[in-house]
Amino acid sequence: MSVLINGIMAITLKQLAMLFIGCGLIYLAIKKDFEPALLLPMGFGAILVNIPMSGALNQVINGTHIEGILNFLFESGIATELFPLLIFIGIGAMIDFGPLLENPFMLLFGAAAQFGIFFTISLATIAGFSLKNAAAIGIIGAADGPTSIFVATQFAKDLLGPISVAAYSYMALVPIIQPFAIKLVTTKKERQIRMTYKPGKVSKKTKIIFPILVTLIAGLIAPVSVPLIGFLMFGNLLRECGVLERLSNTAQNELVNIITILLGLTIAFTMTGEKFLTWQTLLIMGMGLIAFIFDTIGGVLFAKFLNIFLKEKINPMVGAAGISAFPMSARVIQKMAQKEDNQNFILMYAISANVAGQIGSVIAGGLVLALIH
Amino acid sequence: MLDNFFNSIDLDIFLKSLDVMLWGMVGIFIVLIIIYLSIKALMKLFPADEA
Repeated sequence: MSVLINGIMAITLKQLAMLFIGCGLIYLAIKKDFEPALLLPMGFGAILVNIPMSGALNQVINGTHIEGILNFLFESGIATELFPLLIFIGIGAMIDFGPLLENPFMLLFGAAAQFGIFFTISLATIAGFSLKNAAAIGIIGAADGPTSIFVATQFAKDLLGPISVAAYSYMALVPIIQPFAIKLVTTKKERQIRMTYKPGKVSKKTKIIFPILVTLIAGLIAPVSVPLIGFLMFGNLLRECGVLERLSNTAQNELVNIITILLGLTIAFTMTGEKFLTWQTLLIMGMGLIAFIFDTIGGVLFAKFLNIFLKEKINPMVGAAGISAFPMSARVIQKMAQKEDNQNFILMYAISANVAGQIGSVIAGGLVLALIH
Repeated sequence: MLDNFFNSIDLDIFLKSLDVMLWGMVGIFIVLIIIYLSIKALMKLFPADEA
């Protein structure tokens, strides 16, 4: 009889709280549609690891060693960086760099809107984090889940849980965070600036050479970034080469779907009550928010700076789309532009900046690894 | 209290983080400007009507 109530008797307050948090994440995923593909597996995973003596984790019960599946998945999929890198192949296969190639100038916003990452790294060191932990926290501002996981795996494995939750939660909250941050640093008149779209054409050769070229440039400057940018661009090459449609479709669908399921569940390995319910988690969540806000502000202020010199003014909101949350950020910017002036169509520019943000965030991740290693 | 806060900051780590901020932003702009120039060159070398 006592065997049957062992689990119930062994539950701690922290585990109980984490079970509620797990249910909360599932609620947010289903009811609020907050990044459901990741938050739902993470929420369920949080439940799996916080059941006392859970068989999903390595346990020694009555002298018997039980191998936990989540330990195995963590060691083989996250500690080796396999899962986030495989996701990059799928993301690369999903991205059409066409709009960016038509407006390559927008690449600059992909750089400016990474400012929040570096600002937050400094802030985190003031809060008492080590430089490596601070870097892993700052990368939440990349607005790019796999990059955050990749850097956290190298620099702060223990903080992987809160960092992932923060990264994916704030990505879901882009429609709330970005309008707030943009309005802080723009006037109504600036938000009404119209941009005439001049559609250009991009040759197939350019689209094929582009991913190879980006890998070479980024790799030669920051070799540590090769896995990140290389896998992203390999996925894009599958898409653009025109002879591997079957592989491209697999990368975009089956591969991403399978790895997303495994990644979400496995990240939850780090979400045990003991590790997750700390002041550090609250600090990380707060700093993740700051990183997102300063990314947005960085992009907008850079656009305003460029406007000093440009004849044809840029709507500064486009700069905010330089963060990596694709395509949500571009949509938010277009919605804001139309709210100010219903005849203002800046979507294509915002998408170009948003795609640039994808490249920028991965390169930022690589540079942080290179500078701090 | 404010003194305690400032005393608790590890100045070496903070200065190193400023260094990372400077070179990180410079680095990312350099990489993306090189990519920008490369795209320009690609568009010249392979115009769309050749596709």
